[in-house]
Amino acid sequence: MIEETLVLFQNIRNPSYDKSLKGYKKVGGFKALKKALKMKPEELVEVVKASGLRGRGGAGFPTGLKWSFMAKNTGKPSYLICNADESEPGTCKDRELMLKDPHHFLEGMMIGCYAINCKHGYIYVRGEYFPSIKSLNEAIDELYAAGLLGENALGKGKRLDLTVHTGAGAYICGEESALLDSLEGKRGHPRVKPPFPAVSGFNACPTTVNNVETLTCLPFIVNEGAEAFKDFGPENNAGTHLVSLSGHVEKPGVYEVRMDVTLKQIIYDLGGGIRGGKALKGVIPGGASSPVLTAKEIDVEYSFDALGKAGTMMGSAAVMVFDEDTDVVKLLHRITRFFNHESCGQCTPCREGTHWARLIVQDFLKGNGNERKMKRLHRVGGNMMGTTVCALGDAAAMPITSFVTKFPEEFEKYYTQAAA
Amino acid sequence: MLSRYPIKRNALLPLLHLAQQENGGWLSEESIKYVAEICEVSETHVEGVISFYTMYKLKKPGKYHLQICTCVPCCLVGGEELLEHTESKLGIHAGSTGDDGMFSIEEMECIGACSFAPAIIVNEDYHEKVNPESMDQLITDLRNTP
Repeated sequence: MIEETLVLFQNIRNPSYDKSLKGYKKVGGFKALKKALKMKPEELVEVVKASGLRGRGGAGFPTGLKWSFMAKNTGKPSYLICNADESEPGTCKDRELMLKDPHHFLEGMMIGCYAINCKHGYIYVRGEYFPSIKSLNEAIDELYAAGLLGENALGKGKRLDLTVHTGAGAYICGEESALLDSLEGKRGHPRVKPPFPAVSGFNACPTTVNNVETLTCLPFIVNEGAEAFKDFGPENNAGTHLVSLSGHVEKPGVYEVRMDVTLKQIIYDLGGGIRGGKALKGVIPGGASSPVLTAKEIDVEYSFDALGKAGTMMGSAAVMVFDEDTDVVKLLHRITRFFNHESCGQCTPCREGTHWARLIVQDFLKGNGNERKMKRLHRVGGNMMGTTVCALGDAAAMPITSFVTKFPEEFEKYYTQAAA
Repeated sequence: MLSRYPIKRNALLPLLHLAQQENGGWLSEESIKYVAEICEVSETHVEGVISFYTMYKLKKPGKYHLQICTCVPCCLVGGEELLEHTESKLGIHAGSTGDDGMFSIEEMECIGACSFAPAIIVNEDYHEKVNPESMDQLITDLRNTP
């Protein structure tokens, strides 16, 4: 029986925790920032590199390495932008941090700003997150009032400002370059890379985009050291992370775990197993875009590397569980509808592919499926992989090909029954 | 708000939110023109931005805008049924507003409350683990709110 390992959620899990600045300081808040300010920014980058912290937004890119790419001596300001657009279906972890422990996250953000010499950081929160936006704005007001932000935030005469920026409803704005376009006041279209944001990002200035959870790891890393962070979890998968568990489990919720626990343990030990004593049919292990796993495949370590080896991905750590009664074709139809709606329309393979994938899956539901259309689904998926500016094409293709490959009988059922 | 950004155009999204809020939940031609002037961009640019994002409305929504999520996790635990129930209860379809202007319904893609599904947003407030019965109660309560 596994239990949670509390680093990011240590305050949130405390029922008497007071999330105000006073309450956060009472549990040792802002000690890490003080410690960080005694180091040189370059030293801080090295500490984060050594900690093995990998981005929690979906790609799992090493955070310290990302910071080290920032162009220097350009004569332009540097920016740290926090990606709080959390819109991958199944993911609801960042909102927990922003809502219930905003200062913990903001301290991480301030440490990040210091590390990359950012004087004004922006937090791009998805527009629907009204409660999180309010929570962050209240916390930021407290920080300005206490002098922790503003004129002398990072030492005498070293100014730091933070601004909460609200998105307006577009999944694609979680993609970092689309987010930057959106932040600049445009339609959120992903950019062709290179140049990468570290060279030319927000308003063509050097920019790093980090996820909320990634930044919230920083106070622990600075306080306890890189080794302490590495001690959680297996090699190359350092630290604890937040898993958003949803679907047909007894106890859905956001759980904090080490990366050496298995997907099965997360579903059965933390999630209490399948709702109503039903049997498990499958799991979407890392957000709607990750390839699906069957019930037989869930005894896998829930880490970046192990899931990659298992042919899927951890993505934003959103685990969606479905039971034996679930109609897999309907489920895939819902997923294809999502990507069809959210394709920005910039690249033909994605704009057309997501549209046709939805229509073909719909054909099965209407009793017009056949073997040829199974193959066509495969082909449509294949044609989107790697052929677009951003990863949305891949994200839309992976569920299609994996569902058709792993649950062929569910699709066959539709046309053999219709024929009978 | 403009002072928080290096260039005026950067404030476009938050300013549109503000304009929409002050105009009763939708963007009129005048508000678009006004925001374009402040941000020093063309009205066409602003209209292009508005059409890209789902949260900007060109029609007045109901006093209570019911945003019902039917995306994957909500769909697994009854989000679509909840939407159908609400549509038949209020006699309006997703994307429309009732004649009395009290309620409008919008079908949502993932609203990020997946572990607390099915979830809905009413104006700016989240309601979680909603079922048809609690939806009926909510509608009654909203109707009775002065």
